[in-house]
Parts: sequence; C-alpha cells; structure tokens
Amino acid sequence: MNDAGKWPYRQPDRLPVHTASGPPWSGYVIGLIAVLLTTALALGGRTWLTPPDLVMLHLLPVMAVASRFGQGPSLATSALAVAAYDFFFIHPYFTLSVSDSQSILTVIILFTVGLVISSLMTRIRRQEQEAREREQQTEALYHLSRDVLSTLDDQEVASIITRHASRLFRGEAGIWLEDGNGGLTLAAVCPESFHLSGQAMMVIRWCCDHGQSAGRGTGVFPNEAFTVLPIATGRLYGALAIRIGNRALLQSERQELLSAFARQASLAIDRARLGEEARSAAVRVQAEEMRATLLSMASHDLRTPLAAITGAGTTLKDHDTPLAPAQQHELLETICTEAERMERLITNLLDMVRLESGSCTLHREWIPFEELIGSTLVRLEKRSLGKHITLEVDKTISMLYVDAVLFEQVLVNLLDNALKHAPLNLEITWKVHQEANRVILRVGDRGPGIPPGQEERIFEKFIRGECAGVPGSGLGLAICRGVVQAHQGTIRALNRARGGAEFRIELPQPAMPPELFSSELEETLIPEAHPP
Amino acid sequence: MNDLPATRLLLVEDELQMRRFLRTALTARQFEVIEAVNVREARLAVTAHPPEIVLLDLGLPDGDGIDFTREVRAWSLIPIIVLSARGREDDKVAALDAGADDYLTKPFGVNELLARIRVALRHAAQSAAGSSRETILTIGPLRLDPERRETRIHDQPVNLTPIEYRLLWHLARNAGRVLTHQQILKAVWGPHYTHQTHTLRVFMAQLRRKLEPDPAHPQLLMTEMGVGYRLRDDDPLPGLEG
Repeated sequence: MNDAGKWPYRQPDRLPVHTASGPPWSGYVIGLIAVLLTTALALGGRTWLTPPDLVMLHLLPVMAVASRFGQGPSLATSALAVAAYDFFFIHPYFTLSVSDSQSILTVIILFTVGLVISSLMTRIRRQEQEAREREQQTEALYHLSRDVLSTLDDQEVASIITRHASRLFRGEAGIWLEDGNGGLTLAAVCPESFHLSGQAMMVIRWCCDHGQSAGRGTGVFPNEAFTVLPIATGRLYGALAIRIGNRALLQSERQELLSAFARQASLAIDRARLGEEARSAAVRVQAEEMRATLLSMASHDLRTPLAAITGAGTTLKDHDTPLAPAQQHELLETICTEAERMERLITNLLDMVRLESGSCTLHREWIPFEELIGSTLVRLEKRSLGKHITLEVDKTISMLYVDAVLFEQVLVNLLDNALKHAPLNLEITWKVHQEANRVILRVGDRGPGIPPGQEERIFEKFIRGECAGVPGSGLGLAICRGVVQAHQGTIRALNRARGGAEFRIELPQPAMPPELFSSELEETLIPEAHPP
Repeated sequence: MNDLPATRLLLVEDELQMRRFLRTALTARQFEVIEAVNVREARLAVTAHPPEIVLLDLGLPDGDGIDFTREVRAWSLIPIIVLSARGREDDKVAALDAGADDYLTKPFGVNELLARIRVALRHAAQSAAGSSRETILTIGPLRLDPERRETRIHDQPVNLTPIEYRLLWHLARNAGRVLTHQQILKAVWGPHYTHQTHTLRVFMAQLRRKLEPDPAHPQLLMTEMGVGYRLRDDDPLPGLEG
C-alpha cells in the first residue's frame, strides 16, 4: 500500500510552463542567435547610436526569448546579452573586464533588468496557461452537463460521465452503482481496458459505505493510483473512480475539478434515477387502471352472456313448465349465440393481453395481399351476407410484409367493425395503394361515422362507439392499433366526406419480396406422368 | 349412415363435461364411443381394441397429446383429430406436423366436429385402399385426372404448370383436411424446401387465379392463416370415379 512506486509517474506540484514547440535546447540556440544579431546590429550602428540606445538594444533579445521560452533560455540570453555588451561596447573592448565604475553599474542594471523581464514574462505565461486550462475544464463540465441531459437511462448517463472523465483527466474512469441489494455493479468504464483489482474494489466499497472520497489525493488509501468519489445527492447512488493521467494539473486544481465533476455526475445520475422511478410509477398506475377497467368489464360483459345461457339452460331443464317446440328452439338459439359471443370476447381479451404483455413476437413474412383479403372475407362470410364489399387494390402491390396471423386479425376486426355499423346493403370499400416505402390501406363504410373528437379515443381499450345496441368488447380497434404499431405502422380513423367512417393504415414496407426459388425449377423439372 | 355398423371411436379427454357432451352427441350418431381420461388409458385402448378414429385432447393429466400422437403415428395410421383449448396457430401446426389429421379449437359445434370426422374417416379409407393414385378425383367443381394430367373446373380445362399441378393434386388428395405449409412444401418441393413458405404462397395465389372466379374471395383453396391450406370439400361423399 505504501509503495509509491506503483504510481508510474510522480506529479510535480508546480506545472512547468509550456514552452513553444521544438526541442528543449531550441530556446538557448534562438537566444544565442538573437544576441548575435543584436550585437551585429549595434556594431553596425555604433557611430550614430548613443550608449543608452546600445543598452536598450541588448534588452530586446532577452524580452523576445522570455516571451516565447521558459526561464532557462531567458536567463541564459540575458547573461549572454550582458557579456556581449561588455565585450564589444565597454572599454577595454574585446575583453570581459570592466574598467570604470559607471560601466560596471550599466552592466549590473542590464543584467538585473534582464532577470526581471524574464521572470515577469514567465509568470504572465503561466497565468495565461492556467486560465486557458481552467476555461477548458469549465467547458468540459458544461459539455458533461449538456450531454447527460440527452438520456434518462442511468447506464447511458454513467457511460457518458466516464467518457467525459477520461477525456478531461486524460486518464481512466469507471462508475459503480448500488444495485439495490447492497451490492455494487459496474455501470460503465472508459476506456474499456480500465480494470481495477479486488483491493481497488475495497476502496470503492469504503467510499460508498462512508460517503467520502478515498484514494489518491485524500486521507484514505492515499497511495492508490486513482481517486474514488461518492456519487450522491442526499442519497448515495454509487462511486466514481478516476485515474488522472494529466500531469499538467495542479494538486489543488485537481481536487477542485474532481469534486466539481463528481457533483455533476451525481446530479446526472440522480436525474436519471428519479426519471426512471417516475416512469415506472406511471406504468404502475396505468396497469392498475387497466386492471380495474378489465375487472369491471369482465364482470359485466362476461356475465351478461352467461346470464342468458344460464337462464335459457335452467328454463329448458325445468320439466314443470312445458315449452312449445318453438320456444325450446328459441332458448337453444340463445344459448348458442351467447356462447359464441363469449368466445369472441375471450379471444379478444387473450389477444389483447398477449399483445400488451410483449410475449407476442412478430413473424413477419411476405404474403400475397389477395390471400389476406380472401381469408378475412371467408372468416366473415356469414356476417357479410347481404352487404356489398368492394375492393380496390393498386395493381403494383401484390405482397405485404406482415405477420400474417396478426394482420389478418386487424383486417377481420376492421371489416367486422364496418359490418356492425354499416346499414344493410350499403357499400364497404377497401382501397390499397403504395406510396414510396409504405402501403396505405383504407377501409371505409357508409355508417354513421365517428362522433367528432372521438377519432383517437375509439382505439383505446374498452371504448365503444356511441352506437346503441351494437355488441362488442371495445377491444377490436385496440387490438388493431396494437398490431399495426407492432409493425411500426400507424392507424387513424376519420369521417368520410359523403358520410361514414374510414380507417386508414399506413405500413412501412421493405423494398422487395424475396426471389422465388422455384422459378427455374419450374422449367427444369421433368413433368411427371403422375405425382409421387 | 344409419345402416352402417357403428364406427368405433376413442375419446381421450380428461374433462367430465366434455366427455359427457361428446358421448351423447356421438352415440346418437351411430358411434361406439370408448373413453379414456389420460395418456395411459389411451395407450391401452389404442392397442387393445384399435379404434377407427381417435378424438384427442392435448392437455392430459399425465402427458401431452402431441407426444401421444407421435407415438401412435410410429406404428399406425388411425386418424387422429385433436380437440384443444389451445387456439394458437403454433399449437395447431405442432399437432398437425406431429401427425394429427385435424385440429379443432374448443369451443366447437357438433356439426363442425362431425364434418371433420367424416373427412378424416374418408381419407383413412382412401389411404387404406391405396389405389386412389390413379383415380380421377372430383371435389366440388374440380376434377383431376392423374393419368392424363388434366385439370378441369366446372368442366372447363385449366392449364397448370407441373408444380401447380402437383400442388393441387396434393391438396385434392387431402381434400377437406388442413395441410401445414411444411407438409405441403415437403410433399411438392421436397424435404429441403420446407422453409420456403413465401414460394408456396405465391404458387397458391397463381392457382387461385386459375381456379377461383374471385381469387380475393376463394371458395375452393382456403387459407388457414398461420397454419396452412385446405381444399374445401363440402360434399360429404365425393364421387370416386375410376
């Protein structure tokens, strides 16, 4: 634990001022060149330059180097400038010795000014660099808070946080969240290779148990390579472990940035968790409502046909009251009709439950549209007697990519609905056409239409149109909508211009049905005299 | 039918009320009904006094009807009609592919049941005779002559491609019965093509265009959505010519 060597690089407390690009000695070379140039310039102009001008001129390379490079090169340049000045412009010339006291002062002042300039410039440069760093960090925190708003899924929020952390700290980050059973589960790491040992997990556990930071830079487990911060906003969600790879961060700054980051992360996770809870609460309420409606409906709609069946059955069984054959027949008829009604209701209920429970998987396949229509019409053959059904199908559509069984149910329900509401002998129309990548299917009748404002409501469960005496479970259209939505399509109801209701289904369709394997087979097969 | 000897029928059903209803309805129509309430009894009854037809419930207390079907099919061609409350298409396909002749979802009317029994018995009789291969088949308005490979509808000749003919022939030989997609594909195209439901659908559509006056409202080639196809056969005693 106390092995500091585990940490591959020690972080200096003061950051070295960033120098201009190039090798480290480039500052010295440039300083030398600058001094040589200055001296050459001064030698050339010595006839008309005054001595103070010469001194000033020798400060120029110091300033130039100090503004671009660090302390070392600027100090060296300043020493070199003094030496050059002394060598060429102070009597005795071409020696480094100084004869008169006034010249000594000049040399000392020149050197001092050079030192001051270089240290001032260095400080300015450092401040500027720190300001830039801080700005980048603020921006990084801002980006984090903006990005986590995009989702309410806590796993996704965690992965966004770790991604930002690894970028901001130029290191590695991981988030562990409490799983509700007292355990911690890894929610996200960035990069993927970030791996913590069992002992590291102990540090994270400690952090969660105590709600305090641990690891590097703290009083607890300070020799760990990473820092662990609790993710908490009044309530603890988990912990964030960060291994900082950015050497250029000051110790004080690092702590500040870490805690700012952890705060943002906590808020984001908090928001995600609260959103999740609100959602599941809404789902619970909805399920509760649905259950209540279902129960009240079941008790009414299932009991009514049962009452008729029981009544008719007991009347027939009762030998004390003799019944005429016609009366007997009527009661038997009631039993059969009501039993059928119950069967339809139960089938619808089961379909609805299956659709809603999500246990119903789509088996989409290409099916000739004609076949779907045909099987629908056959299923409703008895009920559609005496009603006129017209079919208008765009010739370019031959196949639909749907779950055949479920989609047939949609068509049956829609046609059944139209048959129920359309008065006898009035037309029911089917229209199908293709638009871009979708098929539009319309079923229209000439019944009373949909009451205004009810166009959406009629697709809800247990909502029946306001047509008195029309039997139904109030589930048919809800099933239609469920199936169409499962196919990524939409269904709408509207009133037709000349009276009646129209249901309009839009289904996205893949481009082309698959090839037939039999097309060549058909020709190559030798016709047999008789089938096998 | 009254003059015929009673048909021996095995009823495998654990629900007392269902047994009571079926026993009453079937005995009144000249069936000799043997009852079994579980797989064990059914196995015994099938081997001890082989019935002419079996009505089988799927959810039995000591086993699954589908397994029983497979077991019986391993050694016998007795027609089996499944009666089940499981109404999902997958269940029907599973039962039919296991070798059941037909599938009725509860609740059902007695007329429906009797019609299915008639079809199953007739088909069994044809299979037993084994000679129907060369026989002219007449189903409603449809007439198939295997020797001349000729198809007529309402006495009008229809031109079919070899595959269309084989498809129609297979359906006609099993007229009145539901054949699963798999069964048809295997019989017409061969065992390697059983997943090509899409192709089967297209060929069925072609057949309908050639045989049905209104292909969008078929009267002959019926779709059992999610299960397979059936050639409708309303005639209880089709003419067997030859």
